Amino acid sequence: MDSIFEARDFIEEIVSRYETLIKAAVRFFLALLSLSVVNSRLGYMERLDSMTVVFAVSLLCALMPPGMIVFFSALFIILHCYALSLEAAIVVLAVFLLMFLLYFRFTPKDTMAVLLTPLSFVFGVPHIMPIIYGLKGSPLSGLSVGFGVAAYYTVDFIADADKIVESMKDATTVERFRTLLDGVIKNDEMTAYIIAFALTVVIVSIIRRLPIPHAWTIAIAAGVVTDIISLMMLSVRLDVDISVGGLLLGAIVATAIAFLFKLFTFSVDYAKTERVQFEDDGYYYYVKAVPKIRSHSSRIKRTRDKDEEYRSSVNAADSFSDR
Amino acid sequence: MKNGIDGDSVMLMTRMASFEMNEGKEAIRICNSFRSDYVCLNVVRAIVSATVAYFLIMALYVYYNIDRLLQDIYTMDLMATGRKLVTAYVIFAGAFGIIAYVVYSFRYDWAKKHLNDYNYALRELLHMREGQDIKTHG
Repeated sequence: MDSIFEARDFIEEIVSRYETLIKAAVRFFLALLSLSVVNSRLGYMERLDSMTVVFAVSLLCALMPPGMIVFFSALFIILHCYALSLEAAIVVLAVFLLMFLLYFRFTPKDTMAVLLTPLSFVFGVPHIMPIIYGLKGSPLSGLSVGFGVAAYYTVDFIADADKIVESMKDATTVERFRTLLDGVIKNDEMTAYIIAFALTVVIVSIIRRLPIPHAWTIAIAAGVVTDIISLMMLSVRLDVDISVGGLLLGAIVATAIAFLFKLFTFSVDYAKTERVQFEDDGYYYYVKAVPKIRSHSSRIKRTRDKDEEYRSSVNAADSFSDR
Repeated sequence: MKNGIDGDSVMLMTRMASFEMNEGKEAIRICNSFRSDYVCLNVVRAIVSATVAYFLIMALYVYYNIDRLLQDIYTMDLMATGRKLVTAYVIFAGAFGIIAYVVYSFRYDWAKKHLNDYNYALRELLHMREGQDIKTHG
């Protein structure tokens, strides 16, 4: 366990030293991943489906705020939909616009949920998202994760919609629009995941804030149980085929990742190492503020140091009183 | 006091600089306006957003049901439908306005509290400096 804490301290140290560079690199790779996934799933517009374009946009995203990755991913999705059919582009644009107007305009910090939740579905670990957002966000983050689920299922439906559009060549624009909108909205599997994930976020978030010992551990356990039970109940209620084996496996993976996340984010030290600069009349200060409680081994070392300090002070006091 | 640098004031200044770097940016931006101005402006923005969203939903609904609506348009009670739509809009936009009022009032209070703490730290720093000056110059 101690080696894990030391590894965490080492990573924290590296991250705080090269923070700007690492953040830019993370933004670049996240954009690269997201745009590549969009291109591989949709890929209707040939001009966008090229590594050069993806690379150039990812580089741009590395230099801009994280919200721009969401913006460019949404733009790519809409342009691919437009190449498929105008009706698909209108449906997807309307879904994204409603998400922005009704919710993300108020909570811009949660916008990344719309990007990360679909990516977690693509990588087969969707159950981790409600736990992580419950731990780091507020109960309202349930809506953000819910919108992320909606974004994933929208893209998932559009990815296979070329056959529908092809089969409806002779149909009117309104009929095509109606079929595509039905496909996006009337999806019971999506509804089941939205309700289950939103409920999980709320429960994890509430328990995590309770003033009880091991609140985070209990929150993770309660979240995983809520996720499994609610999805099973909803799958029966809405007649959706959700694999129980896959669900349990996903829950185990989610638990492992959640504990790793807790270790790096919520474990003992709340504050990360910070570098600040300021000045007064006489000096310029370049201060590195390090959280007081570090790994277990350094705590032991500090306790020993303090013991020695105490012993030497007692000895000094004794020798003073002997005089 | 060592080499002219006071440890306590450095700690205080570090905490203040950390605040300025992180949540302080948002708090300072929010508290640049009066409470009523900040909350009203954001409520108006929320109502504009709700209006656009409402018309978007209506447009989607009309386009989706265009065949049925064209058939029923001559038998429909247009006044009653219009009243229903206006009532729905008022409820929708009103709910959004109320939510925005609560959210942005809460945000302003949060920012104000943090800035008060920051100002308190600033005054404490000033007292420390004055104490140092008295010690140095007598």
